[in-house]
Amino acid sequence: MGALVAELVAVSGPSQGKRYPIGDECVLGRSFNSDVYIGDLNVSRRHARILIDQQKHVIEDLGSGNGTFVNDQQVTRCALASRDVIRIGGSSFRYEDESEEARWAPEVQTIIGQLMKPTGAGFPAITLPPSDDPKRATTPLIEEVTDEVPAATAERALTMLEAIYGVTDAIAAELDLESLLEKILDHLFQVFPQAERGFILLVNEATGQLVPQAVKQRGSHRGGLAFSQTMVDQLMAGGSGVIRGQTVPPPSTRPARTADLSRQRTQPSENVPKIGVPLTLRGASLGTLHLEGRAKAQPFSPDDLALLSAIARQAALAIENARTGQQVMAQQRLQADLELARKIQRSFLPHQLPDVPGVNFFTHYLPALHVGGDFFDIIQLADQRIGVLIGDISGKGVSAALLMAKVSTDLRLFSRQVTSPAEILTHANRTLMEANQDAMFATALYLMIDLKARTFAVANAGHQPPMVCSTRFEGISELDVASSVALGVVPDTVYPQETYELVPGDVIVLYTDGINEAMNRKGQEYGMRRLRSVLVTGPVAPQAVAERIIADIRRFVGNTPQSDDQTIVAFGLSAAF
Amino acid sequence: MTAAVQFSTTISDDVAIAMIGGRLDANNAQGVREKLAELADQAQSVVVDLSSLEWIDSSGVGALVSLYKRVLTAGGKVNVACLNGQPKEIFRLLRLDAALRAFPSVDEAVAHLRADS
Repeated sequence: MGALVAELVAVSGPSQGKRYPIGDECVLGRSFNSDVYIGDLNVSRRHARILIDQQKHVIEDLGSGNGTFVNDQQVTRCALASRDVIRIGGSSFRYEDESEEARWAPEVQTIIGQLMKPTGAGFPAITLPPSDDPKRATTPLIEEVTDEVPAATAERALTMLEAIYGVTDAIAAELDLESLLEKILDHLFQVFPQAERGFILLVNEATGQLVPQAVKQRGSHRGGLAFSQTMVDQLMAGGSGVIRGQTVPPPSTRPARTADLSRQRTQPSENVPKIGVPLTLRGASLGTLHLEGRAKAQPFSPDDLALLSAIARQAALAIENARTGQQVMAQQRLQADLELARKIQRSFLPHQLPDVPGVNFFTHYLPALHVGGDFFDIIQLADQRIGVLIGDISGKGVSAALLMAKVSTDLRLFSRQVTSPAEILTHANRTLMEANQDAMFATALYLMIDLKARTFAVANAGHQPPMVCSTRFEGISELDVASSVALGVVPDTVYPQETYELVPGDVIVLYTDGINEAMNRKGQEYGMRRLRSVLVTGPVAPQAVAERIIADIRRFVGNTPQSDDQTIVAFGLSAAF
Repeated sequence: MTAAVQFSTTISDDVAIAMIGGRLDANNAQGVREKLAELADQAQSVVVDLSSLEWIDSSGVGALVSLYKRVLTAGGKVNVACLNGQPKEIFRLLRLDAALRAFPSVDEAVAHLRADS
């Protein structure tokens, strides 16, 4: 028989979580030079001692005021067996004889308990597969609470309840998910003194992937932050709690404790005791919660699993609350974001149309509630030229609004420097490419009216081609402008440009896809066919044409909320010109 | 209206194939964009199979544009296969063929990527 290797583990009281190696003799008491110091006024200065008698540890009461208890029996002298619980004042210690632990710890032990359902009394119940090990089988489990509760079970249940309430109390009001997860792990480390590392993985709501959200490890010890994927998979697949045991070498070959620590990193994961439970709420899986102990330490018990399951239920609820709370906050931030986007956008759209002799303009801009990216401008230039711009930036919110502001400012600037719409779009494309927002692009159509020549030149970057309503022909025609790729997609794109005659009486209609894609309650699109047919007949003046479109769309969509901006820019030569 | 987006990927040698089906819109474009970015990091070139894509909006196009820019920066290419219906119209309107060349089948799209490289 090898030397007696044993420890006391403080399971409750002021030193909870601490481990005390027991040598040949150790004194427990309130005196500062005690081997096991207990800072509790109910404890005598020299309260009890543990010594070796016939190769066994024995505890002796040293005439204490409040007595020494082993497994809730008051003792004056008592031989200790592994897992005995010593209670002194308000502190409890578990006695762990490692040689004895090793003898009955099976090679690799897996205990899978069913996820607990609360019983009537609110105590967690656990069911376990039958065990062949006689000692394991006699381990008291909290199955149900009857009127006659054995004292040991009652105390254990009370400890568990206290732990559950403690955690619940601490986490219930925490709405910040990150601090919440941290608090949950902090409390679990208090409740499970043998836990060395703790992990919470949550299912990402957007991607469905299981992502590590919080990791904690005790002390300064570095075991790496890798966790057992097998454990996590098992928890996600089984929906029930899992305990994994250990392999302990025979006591004679046991390395010294210091060597133990240095070797820890290379220990196969089977040597690390683990306990874990899935985090579920109303049948939905939120993720997993698991703890790992020191390599070769004593495995977690079924009671531990019951307790962890109960805490996990509270934790799942708190996580859900925090997420909902964060969603509400995110919603509020989004609202503020949209409000800002709307302001930016409005400030960059023309407030007043230029009064150009000879040309009638009419513009209609109806932004959607969620802020689309439509933009338009009418720019009066030298030599009786007028630039007309319409476009639509992909994406929504502040980033889209800022980009739209930048693009429309640049376009206005370029309009004064170069006269060709194609070149202006080339510049705008460069601006957007440089903005380096990879998922953002813009459609744009630039039309330059030359009143002297009575022509207009057009270049198109992936935008809807303009329509022409005319008294010269039956129906309407679509300007078949050669187009190139939308702005911000391909660097150094060259845009084709074409020039058309501007005929008095014709109305040119530029519009964004919010017009032809306007949707009704049934999810049907307004569509190009309706748009063409509404343009066929009726008065031919820019304002009248635009108002016919607006009225027809309004009839089509009814009171269905508008999902995208709607913009129309219509113009024609005035009759007097 | 509420049909979700479907997304799956396969990688064969140097070409990754992403299948996007259903509706690709503002509700899911961000997620798809992230998955495409992961894919772009794993292969030189990408073929996007759009045979079961029913509807795409500008955010959805943004996800594909983002993939294109990412792959282009790394010196690769993106081809699309089996465009039809509304997505085909949007591609035509935006002239996206300048960036994403379209082929009638995944095999042809892959073959052209290999021939070009």
